[in-house]
Amino acid sequence: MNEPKRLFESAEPALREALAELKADVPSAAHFDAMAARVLSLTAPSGGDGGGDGGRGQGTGDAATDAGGSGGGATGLAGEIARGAALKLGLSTKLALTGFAVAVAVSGVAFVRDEGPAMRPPRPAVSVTVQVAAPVTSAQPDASPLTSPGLVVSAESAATAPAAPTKLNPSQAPTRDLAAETELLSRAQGRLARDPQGTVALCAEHRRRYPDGALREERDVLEVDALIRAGDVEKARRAGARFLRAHPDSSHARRVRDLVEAL
Amino acid sequence: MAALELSHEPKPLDVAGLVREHGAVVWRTLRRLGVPAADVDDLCQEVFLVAYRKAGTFEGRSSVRTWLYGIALRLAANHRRKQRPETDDAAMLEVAGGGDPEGELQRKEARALLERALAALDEDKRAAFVLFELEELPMTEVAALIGCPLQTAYSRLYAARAAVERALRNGERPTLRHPGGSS
Repeated sequence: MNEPKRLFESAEPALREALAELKADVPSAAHFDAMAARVLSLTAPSGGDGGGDGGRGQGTGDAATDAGGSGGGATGLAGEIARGAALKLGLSTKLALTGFAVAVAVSGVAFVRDEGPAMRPPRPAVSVTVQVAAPVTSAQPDASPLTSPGLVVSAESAATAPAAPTKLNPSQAPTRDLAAETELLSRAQGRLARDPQGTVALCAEHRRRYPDGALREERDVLEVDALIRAGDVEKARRAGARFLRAHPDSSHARRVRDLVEAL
Repeated sequence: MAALELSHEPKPLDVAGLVREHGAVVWRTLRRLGVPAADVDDLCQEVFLVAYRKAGTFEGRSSVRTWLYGIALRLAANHRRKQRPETDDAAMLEVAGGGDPEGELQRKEARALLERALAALDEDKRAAFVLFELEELPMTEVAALIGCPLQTAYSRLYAARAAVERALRNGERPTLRHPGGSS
């Protein structure tokens, strides 16, 4: 039987265009790099549910599962933070960021170092290694204090982070700042499901430290989500409206609209 | 392609490579099947976790992509059943930017109408439309994925097309909603 012609070949221009737009509307490759890292962490023998029948979002209590499973936005936000980080460093540091951004995407549960090229590595299974970080115990679900000196945690997780943060090569400084920003936001995101108030506090901390930070948009999106989860609907609406006024063309605008519209 | 290492050997599935290679397609399919924006990342991830768990059952009779489509369809259907009726968030015009040139506005309207028409379709018609028109699968695969005879798949596709074209022709303006509005 002959296949019918597809609409994008035969329909009127407006429909063709709309179809093309729907087809093209997917997140960037960085988004899926981050997701790949997350899936890897969840399937790693020591990290995730590794083939059990519970799966994500079933309340298994597993730290990695919990980090992403309890909220629709958690994974997405982690991806957005990672994507934001990757985009904002530019090409020269893209390689370093690939590793770091991916580490962030797994919400501090697993650090992933991708030593392959920025483009898709030909054999990612070989080039990607997963190290599960110090376990987040149930007794101490989030041991990181708000003002943790661990802001340079990136030195452990980012392949190219400087060993001595006090003596930075100028070209490394933006990386470190971004790494610190990213680390702070990843902690904020990691609390989103179980402690949205904590996320709000960490977003405020980020705003104080990095008012013009490279990840300010990601912070604001995260804050809107956290405010909603914390039940502070009015603040969430205001924060969302403020974001949309300030960044109407942001790649995050749609997500903010989605969040606020759902209220 | 190189990322895929499915076989009956005890070689572990390169699930990260699978995500990188097929993540965008799976994400798009889920979204166009009506999974809300807030849930699509989680569900997309779940598709690959399921693929990882079920790798041993993949027999290679279809392409890996088709296999992933099948998982995505099932998860989207389950998700849809568990959710409240879909909010037509996708069909809302984006109004915050303001100052759109007319052409841009028309383009957004067309997209909003299309998404709205898709949201109004029943699950099977929507799947037929998404898989054939957006994912460009052959109708035989569409039928296999939906789990119906080929003729039925054609009927669903044509019904979906008619609804979509009617929606765009009628040009019913989608509801303009502002953030914070009470629906």
